[in-house]
Amino acid sequence: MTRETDMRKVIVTISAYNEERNLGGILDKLKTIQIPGCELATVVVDDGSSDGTYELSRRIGAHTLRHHVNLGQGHAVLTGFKAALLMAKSGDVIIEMDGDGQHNPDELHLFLEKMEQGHYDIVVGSRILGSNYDGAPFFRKKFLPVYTNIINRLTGYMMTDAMCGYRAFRASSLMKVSSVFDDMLEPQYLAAEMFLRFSRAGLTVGEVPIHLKERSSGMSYKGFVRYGLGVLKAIIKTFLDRSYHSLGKQ
Amino acid sequence: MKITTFTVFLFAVSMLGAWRTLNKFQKELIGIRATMMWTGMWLIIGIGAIFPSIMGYFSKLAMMQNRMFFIMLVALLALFAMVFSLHSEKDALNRKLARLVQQVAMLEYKIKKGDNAEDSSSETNDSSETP
Repeated sequence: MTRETDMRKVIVTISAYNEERNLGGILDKLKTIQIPGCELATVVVDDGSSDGTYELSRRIGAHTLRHHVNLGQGHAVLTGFKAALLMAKSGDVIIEMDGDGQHNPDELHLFLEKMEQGHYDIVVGSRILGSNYDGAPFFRKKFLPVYTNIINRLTGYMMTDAMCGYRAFRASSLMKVSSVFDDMLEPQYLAAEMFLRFSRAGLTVGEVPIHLKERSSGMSYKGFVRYGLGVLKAIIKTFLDRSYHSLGKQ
Repeated sequence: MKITTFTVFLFAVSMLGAWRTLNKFQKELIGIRATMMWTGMWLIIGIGAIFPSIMGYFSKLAMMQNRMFFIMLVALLALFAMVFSLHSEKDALNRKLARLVQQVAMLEYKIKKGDNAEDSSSETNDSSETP
């Protein structure tokens, strides 16, 4: 019993919208993963799915939350963070991943290793550094570096892929900035706003290469150009927001 | 000042509009900002109908030769203001809705977690009572 409580908890939060056909495989895979010294927990946020995503997640035994209305991925990620922080202690790690099966659970340990090596608050997965990036869709190849470059210039980070949804956070760091979760103005374009606010709060970022898998089923709900315009909107709104400027003074 | 049937009709419509706006405000169906904006609009129409020379004066002030152009410009600006106001309200409502949905999700989760904890503790109690 004592050994279990001494273990560091790694809480994986997954946001899912109509991912009944993909989610089961991810949750089953996560159950088999063993990381020395760590105890794995999974939080699934069902973002208003009309299929059996919620029921499936509960059946498999993940901590499951449900948005009764589809709010968009960013909102689901924030709900996941809030739920994860309820069960986390300061030494724990919270890892965010997508529910579409493109993020490989086998790569979880890379994030933890990188976090320990560089004492980073956040470790971001980079699809660009991954070996299979050559096969990425045209729009992603064209626009991803542009958006990342803009965010890097504004935050001072040196990321190659700011938009990747596979990220790890120190629970203690997330606890420090948890007050901004409700201040987010454009959570549907979370990455841009999150990095702006987190850099303002002084959190550090490292990066690991990840290898994106093809979706085994269904379709992505994001249009890359529209998403990019939303990112720009989020950046402008954040800069105009008073709570963003007060972050640095805390 | 020449009063025609159309002038009387326009004035009556504007007064009816203003009365309906104030009535809605009294019943708390609309806020103070919307009440002021709409009442102002109706009054401008009413006054403009009775005293067209006022519109002429303001159109000269705005350096516009044609009174109709001035009225169109004012109407366009008022429409822009309304669209902006509606857009802001929609944004604020969306944010409130999102926060509410998130809070409900968290509450449901906490309640279910509490239930599970109670279930398991009562199960433990039951088993401890078993001889």
